[in-house]
Amino acid sequence: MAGELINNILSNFNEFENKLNGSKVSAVHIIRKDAFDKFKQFGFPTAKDEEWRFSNPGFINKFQFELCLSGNDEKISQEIVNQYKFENLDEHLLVFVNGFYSQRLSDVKPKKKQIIIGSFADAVERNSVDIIKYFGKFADYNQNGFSALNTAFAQDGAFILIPDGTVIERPIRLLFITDAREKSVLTMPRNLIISGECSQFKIVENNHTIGSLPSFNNPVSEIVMDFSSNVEYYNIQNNNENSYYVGTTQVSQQRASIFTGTTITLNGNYIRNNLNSLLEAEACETNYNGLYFVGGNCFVDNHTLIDHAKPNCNSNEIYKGILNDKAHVVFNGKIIVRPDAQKTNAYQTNRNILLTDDAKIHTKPQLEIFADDVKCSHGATSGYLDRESLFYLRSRGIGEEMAKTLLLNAFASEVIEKINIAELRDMVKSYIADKLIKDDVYFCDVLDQLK
Amino acid sequence: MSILKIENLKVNVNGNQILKGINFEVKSGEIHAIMGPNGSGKSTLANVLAGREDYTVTEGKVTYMGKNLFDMPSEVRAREGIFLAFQYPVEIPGVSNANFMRTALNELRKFRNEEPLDAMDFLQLMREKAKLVEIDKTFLNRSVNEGFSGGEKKRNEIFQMAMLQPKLAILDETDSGLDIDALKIVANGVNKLSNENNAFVVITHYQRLLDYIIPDFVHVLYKGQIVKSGTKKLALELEEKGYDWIKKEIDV
Repeated sequence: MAGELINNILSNFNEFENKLNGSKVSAVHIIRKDAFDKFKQFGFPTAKDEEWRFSNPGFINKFQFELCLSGNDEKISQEIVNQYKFENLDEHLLVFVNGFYSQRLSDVKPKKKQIIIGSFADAVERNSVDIIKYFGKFADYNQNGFSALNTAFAQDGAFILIPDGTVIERPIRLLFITDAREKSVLTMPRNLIISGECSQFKIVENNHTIGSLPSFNNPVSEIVMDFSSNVEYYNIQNNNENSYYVGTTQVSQQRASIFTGTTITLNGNYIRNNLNSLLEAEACETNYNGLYFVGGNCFVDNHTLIDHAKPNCNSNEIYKGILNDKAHVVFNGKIIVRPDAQKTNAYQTNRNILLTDDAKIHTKPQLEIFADDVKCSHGATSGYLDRESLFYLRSRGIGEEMAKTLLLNAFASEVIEKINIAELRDMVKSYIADKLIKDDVYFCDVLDQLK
Repeated sequence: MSILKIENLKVNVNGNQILKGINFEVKSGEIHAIMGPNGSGKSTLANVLAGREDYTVTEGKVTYMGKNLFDMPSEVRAREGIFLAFQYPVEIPGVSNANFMRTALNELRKFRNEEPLDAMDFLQLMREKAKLVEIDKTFLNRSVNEGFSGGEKKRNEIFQMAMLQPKLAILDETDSGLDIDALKIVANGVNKLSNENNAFVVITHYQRLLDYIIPDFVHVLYKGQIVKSGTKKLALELEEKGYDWIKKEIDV
């Protein structure tokens, strides 16, 4: 292993352990130590690893990232948090600064006692049985260095437990603020989300870096879903040009649960999203919706895995993207249908529009089917805007820019319309409209207006 | 008044010369029919006039309302009043007919320094014009031409024409693939829109449409040139004798 970051990390871990005193021998720490050993073995992946072929994380050696071992929210004002509010959204807000929970900036509305919307550190502190039961059991740290590293340093993040039969109407928003005003920071939030039987809720994750120095976020989330629960997980990614992100979300689904993961990527420097679901019991449903609309030198890699282990489950995956300037996008959609998983329906689509010759897309559907009575399909397309459609619109007096706007909005709307939180949907719509339209007076959806 | 004047127009497509010197003039209030066998250059002519980019004009001049047509990109031609009813209308998933027409109409109004139409006035206009070509109201919410039958697509073209009120409408084989009822609806739409201030160029392979839309002039296009011009009688003659008669006359 080489690299300055890795050397620093080795000493960081000693520092971290010394700070722990008595809890060094706790169940949580045993997992951390195990993960740390794995990290020492693997290091960070390189382009030689098949799963990282097109997404070489070379940036880790390019900057002097400093790992944050403790939280300090003093330098973050309420105004900063307010910048990242969604207009009119009534939410439970959890704010994290460099990966550590900030009670002062968070705003969790009154709720029943059994419902936990709080911090991972608190749950570890009070020896929560759920932490011991679930932490590190789903997000596999034997596969790659990033997850191993996060697990080794898992201290804080969100801990959410929604008990049996509970429906939470307000979206729960996880706002991760990274402070890169004074130094280049590396944060590693660790989230554990547990949905009880028949519970239902929505989670929204945002990462925002303040300051212009490089920042690197390496979060891992484990989502554990019990019988017939329904979780919608939204990751809205609109960070700055100096932000680097490698996020892993691992979902474990029990019988008849429904998971919907929506990933909207609008800006950032390097974004790698690992989104994995294991369908561990019958009658589960998994929906992945993705939209990336990126330009500049932005790099986005959506690496998804839907693992059908049991019969009678459905999965639907649709990722769509618009690539401008020199954007580079990777889509890798793996679907495994195990021998047991008869009567599986699995559908996958990836569609891309390239607006320039310099934009690049690597799309790779990967279906591994070991059962014989299944329905699976995948489709991937990449191309430029349809010239026939453009000419048709222009021949009706619609200017070229406006025509492109109409077509791109139409293309993106298939994913946007799947966002079930109106305020979020409006934000994404207006972001795309702002970026595309200079002259918005003459553009509006007449049917929207009449509603 | 002259609306369109075409002088010695020569056009290449992928290096092949398709139009080899076309001349004709359309004045306001007139309906011109352009007939001819397959591959004679009818659709090329229509598309060149609408501004499709794959065509290269190698020679000649087209004057529209006193201006050089080739100075205008296709959207400007449309705003100046040129409308092409497509032979193969394009399906655009995700863009509703309502949004499409509202955007087009407002671009047109902006060009004329008029205020955009408000939503209520616009919807009323849309319903009124939809009636003209007998299309169902629900079609307004549907994506442009998506899942439309051949006849519905052609009626949608005439509907759009009715919405945009062009000065010069070019109908590119709008009759092809239509049954007799749909043909009557399309013809009726054209006849209701026709007046002394606008003009129509109706491109067709068959005489059938001309039973319902009565042309003032009929031109026969063959091998990239207009080889015969006449009145409605010429169309009837073609119906009776077919194109072979003309081919023989020219090819000799």
